[in-house]
Amino acid sequence: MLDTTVTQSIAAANFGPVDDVPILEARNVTKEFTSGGAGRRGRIAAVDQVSLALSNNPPQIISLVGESGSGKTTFSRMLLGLTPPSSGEILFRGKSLATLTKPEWNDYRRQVQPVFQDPYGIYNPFYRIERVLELAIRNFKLASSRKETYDLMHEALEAVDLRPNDIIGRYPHQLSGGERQRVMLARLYLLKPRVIIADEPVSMIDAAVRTLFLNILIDFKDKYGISCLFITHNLATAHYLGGKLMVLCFGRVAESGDLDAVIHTPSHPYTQQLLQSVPTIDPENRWTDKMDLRTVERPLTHEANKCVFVERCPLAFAPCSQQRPGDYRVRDDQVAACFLHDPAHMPK
Amino acid sequence: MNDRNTSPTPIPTAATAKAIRPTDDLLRITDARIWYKTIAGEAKVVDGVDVTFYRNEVFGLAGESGCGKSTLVEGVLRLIKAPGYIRSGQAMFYPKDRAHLNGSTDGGIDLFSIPFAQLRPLRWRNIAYIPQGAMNSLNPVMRIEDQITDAIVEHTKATKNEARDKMYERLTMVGLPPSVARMFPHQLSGGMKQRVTIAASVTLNPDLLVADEPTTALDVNVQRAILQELKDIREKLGLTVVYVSHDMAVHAELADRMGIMYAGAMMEIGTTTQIFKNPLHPYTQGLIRSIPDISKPRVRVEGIPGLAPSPLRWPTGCRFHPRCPFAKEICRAVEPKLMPVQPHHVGNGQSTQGRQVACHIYTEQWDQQHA
Repeated sequence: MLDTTVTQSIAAANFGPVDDVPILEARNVTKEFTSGGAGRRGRIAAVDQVSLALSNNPPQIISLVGESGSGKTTFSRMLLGLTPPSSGEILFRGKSLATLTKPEWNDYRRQVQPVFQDPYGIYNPFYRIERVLELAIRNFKLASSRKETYDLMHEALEAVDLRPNDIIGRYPHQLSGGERQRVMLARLYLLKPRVIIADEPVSMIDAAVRTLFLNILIDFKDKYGISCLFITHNLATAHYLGGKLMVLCFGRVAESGDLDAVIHTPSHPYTQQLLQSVPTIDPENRWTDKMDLRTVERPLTHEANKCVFVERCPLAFAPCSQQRPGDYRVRDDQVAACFLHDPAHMPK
Repeated sequence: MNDRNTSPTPIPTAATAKAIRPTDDLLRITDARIWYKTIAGEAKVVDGVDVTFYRNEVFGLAGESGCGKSTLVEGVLRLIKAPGYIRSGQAMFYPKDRAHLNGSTDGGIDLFSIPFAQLRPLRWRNIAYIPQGAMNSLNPVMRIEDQITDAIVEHTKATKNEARDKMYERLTMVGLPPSVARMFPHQLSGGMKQRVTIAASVTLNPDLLVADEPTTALDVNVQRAILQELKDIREKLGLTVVYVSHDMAVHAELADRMGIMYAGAMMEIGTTTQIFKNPLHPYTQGLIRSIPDISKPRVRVEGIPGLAPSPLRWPTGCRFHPRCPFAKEICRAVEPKLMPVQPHHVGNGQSTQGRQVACHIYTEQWDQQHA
């Protein structure tokens, strides 16, 4: 699919010096929104003390999984510098986003690139589709002539499995959702950022094209050393990508660690419940037990001194509604924010 | 509105329709063509679909976006708006409860051609529909109870009180507390709103419930709950559910039989087990391969290369041939018909009962040429 000889040389040229500092890091990040009208002021922490380190050495994929309202999009917007955190900080190459100088900010803009959910909303309908590629080439001075621009665009489109002649010269409405999302990937191919932050990029495209998109992300990591934070509500998609997994529940991290460890031995009751609801893809092995709707839909409370999941948790016990659980190491590569794994509460 | 676009094929008289009608057919669609007039030409969104839905089954209608699955069910419900129109075909519907319908309906009703005046009494009483995003179409300034009871009173002779009793019964059936009736839509979660629409749709014991992507925007826990409710309701009320979704995993959980659509045509029909365990059409095979399976080790899958064709210009011959790894000369020239599968084309001992596929690989000529 990708032309390896060309691309490897580009990859080698683009790899910077090796360093141990994570390329992008979130430290205890909280984002609060006020809710309710006058006289009913409430503050909701959409993201509540979330930490995450995305390394580029070696490149990695971290999947951030959460249901709607879990704060995953708010978190990604903070990582992209689109909205400042209420507390905590985002660090790019070890330096807080708030203190970046102009050149550093430009570098960050170049190295941390987004892919958004809605392939219909991101294009200006008045311009031809290749404009997003041309702008990237022009603004980051990737080509010195029209011929080079043209060649680069062709190379990038072919790298994401598109036929350049079918794409160039067309308007956004003439392309399918899957094609538009892949043009965004072609743009990333040109820029070769260190980090891609992909917020639900495949939720609006078809299954057959979806794997194509995910394969490109995996190739980007393996061939060009591009790390990726992949935000999704779909555990099966996260499983396909591999790497690491972080499960968000109502703004807080419920569980994180090696993806296979979390999926095969989920240790937070929330993760367990999520996994039980993933359809099995086997018509001879359907769900037999019934999920109790009343617990699944009970509203979650967001109080500082409680576990957020306590209202719905089938295993909740006294400490869960008395204090917020810390992060307890379940095994080497897996951490769960649940008192069941607190050595102090473990059955003797 | 589209009454003028009636089928060019003669509508069978009651006698002929009865003669060819198996007892358990609820809706038999033959050669459905639903086109859109565009500046660039006719968009043949649904172009020659044959499929039969049986009584008391969950039929999963699957396919990628743009394959025409939603348009097909919208055609059955006669919701196609201009510039779309029903070009030709038949959708013979055999409802059980016919007392409230005008005229003789014993020979079935062709939903594609009956006048709107006769269609209206069918809606909700006999055919219920949950369109895409239905939960967001609840009236925001009406209480749930008023929205449901008004509809019952409108479509039946029930009094307001009878309607209210019915509404409470149905809300309980989908696992909602009675207090929901007094609420406004904004007070409910997405899953609860979707259950309200399901409860509302089945209040009058319809023969057929068409649900178009009812769980697509919901979280997995809620999706699971909705699927359970649909399954329960189907069993309690004995209705037929046509479940339209691009999500194959959901079909694996819910459907009894499935139809796979591609480029406006039906590629394969079979039981859900047949489709998943032994897909015959190369497109179905590709589709099933591209579902990530969380319970299996991670393997790289390539999906289906190439692009879905445009409804303005379907490929000649088999519509899947430009993307098909097995395409031969005949596939480019001749469009394969949806045909019953012969026993020697599936593995030993597997049932071919009710199994149909539109692919040259499973025809006699192919056997002879490529033996």
